[in-house]
Amino acid sequence: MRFQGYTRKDGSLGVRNLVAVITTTGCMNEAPKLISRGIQGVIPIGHNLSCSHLGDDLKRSTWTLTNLVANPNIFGAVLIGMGCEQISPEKIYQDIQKIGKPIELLTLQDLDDWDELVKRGRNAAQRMSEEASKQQRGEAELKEINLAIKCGGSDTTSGVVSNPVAGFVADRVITEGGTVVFTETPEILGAEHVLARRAINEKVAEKVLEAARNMERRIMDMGVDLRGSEPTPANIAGGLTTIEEKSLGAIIKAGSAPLQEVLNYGERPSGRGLYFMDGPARTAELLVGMAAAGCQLMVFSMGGGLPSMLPMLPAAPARFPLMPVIKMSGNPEEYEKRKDLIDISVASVIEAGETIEQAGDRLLREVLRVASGQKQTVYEKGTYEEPLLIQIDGPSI
Amino acid sequence: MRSRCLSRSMAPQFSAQAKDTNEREESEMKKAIAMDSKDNVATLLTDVDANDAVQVMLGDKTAEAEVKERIRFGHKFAVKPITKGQHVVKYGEVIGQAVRDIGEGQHVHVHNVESLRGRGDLSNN
Repeated sequence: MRFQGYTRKDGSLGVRNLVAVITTTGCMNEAPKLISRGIQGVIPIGHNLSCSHLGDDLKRSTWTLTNLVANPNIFGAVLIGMGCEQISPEKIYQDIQKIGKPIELLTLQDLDDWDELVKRGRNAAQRMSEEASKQQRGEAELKEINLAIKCGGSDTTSGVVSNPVAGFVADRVITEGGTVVFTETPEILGAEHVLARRAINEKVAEKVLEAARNMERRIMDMGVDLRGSEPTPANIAGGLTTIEEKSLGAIIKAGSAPLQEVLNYGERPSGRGLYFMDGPARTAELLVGMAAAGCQLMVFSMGGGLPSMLPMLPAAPARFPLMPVIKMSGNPEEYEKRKDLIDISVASVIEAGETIEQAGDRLLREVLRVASGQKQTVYEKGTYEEPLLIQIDGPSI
Repeated sequence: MRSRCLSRSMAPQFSAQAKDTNEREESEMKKAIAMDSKDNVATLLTDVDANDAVQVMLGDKTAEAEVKERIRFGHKFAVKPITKGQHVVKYGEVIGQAVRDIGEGQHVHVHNVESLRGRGDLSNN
């Protein structure tokens, strides 16, 4: 299975060709907007992190930002630092240089003047945009895809139709030598034993169980019933009764391949095959974690109800240009109402006797069409720019 | 691995139904799907009214059931009686426990089932 993509110097394959203007600290979030404004193919990236975080949160933010810039959809980046922040702009700059990606670093500390920083930033972004525009798409194979799979706005059709269809595509990508990443630790509660049985060894199995235990312990420590958050009120309206039911339906989206490893949030897979990322289900943080893992695009398996009425994704930034997201629904009624907001419907499995395999083949063709740039997804058309959210576990100081 | 079997075997199921069912009456019958032979609930693929007959599909097999109340598309009903405290089983796995007796054909949802996981509300006080 072939498609058209952009080959990067580190051997990875982009499905989009973006220049990112990205801050190392949330203090500088205004700069990428001013710098990128009006320049073709240049996207501003601000985020929630600054020196207001401690320990593991700081470490995670550094590797997540580095891996985000390393995402193959990004041709090059202009890194904007304050200069005094704990998240080291120099370290990110050096790590990106090592993989041969065009990168420029500007800090307020070095330039000592905000207007000068914006002016130089715009010059750098303009130069990089011109270089990027010379890139051509070339032949690529499915094995070069790192596919992220998420489910959201789940109802009972998710576990019966759209997640099995996503799982079929996950298996196909992995059979062809590609990689699939799924996450959402709260949504393995009640299904972790099923997932652990698929781990390639005892160590990985134990990591799955540990991720679930840690998540459940944190919920227990809050002294609350998870219900209302998992399943959400919208999930419950759609027929999902408990987190166990939601989880058992949710893990089907990742197909049936052996589980290679449990990744930290924002960590890149070390090989090919199926990977589980230990991270939140909330779409905002999840998108960043998946893009940092090197995923070039995501399949979002959608149920129905109010979340499917959104042109964007539930609990997500209105725009996330780093990674195209394909919205798929298997709910016949909801699709009829909101055709323009869903990229692909697999409701015909319920309505017209289409098999999971046939629907899966259609989804795979859609993935390749989006990957080749022949189609812009609904979610790519969002306009409102807002800072990305990176996972935080500890206190905000 | 069970979920693989499900995701694969359910699919031909739907199409096989459409093809094999020549009799108009049967093809128009309301449908539900069970995910595993151990399940004591099935998921409805249409809205149903009280006393509707429903065709429950499980793999290659189908069985008939009667629902006892109006239930919405995507929601579950009991295909066997479930007594208070008994596990509710879907996908061949435990999805919670009944908080009251649930009769065959009755709606199974948050009003009569509780989760066994993430119950911080029961942990300390």
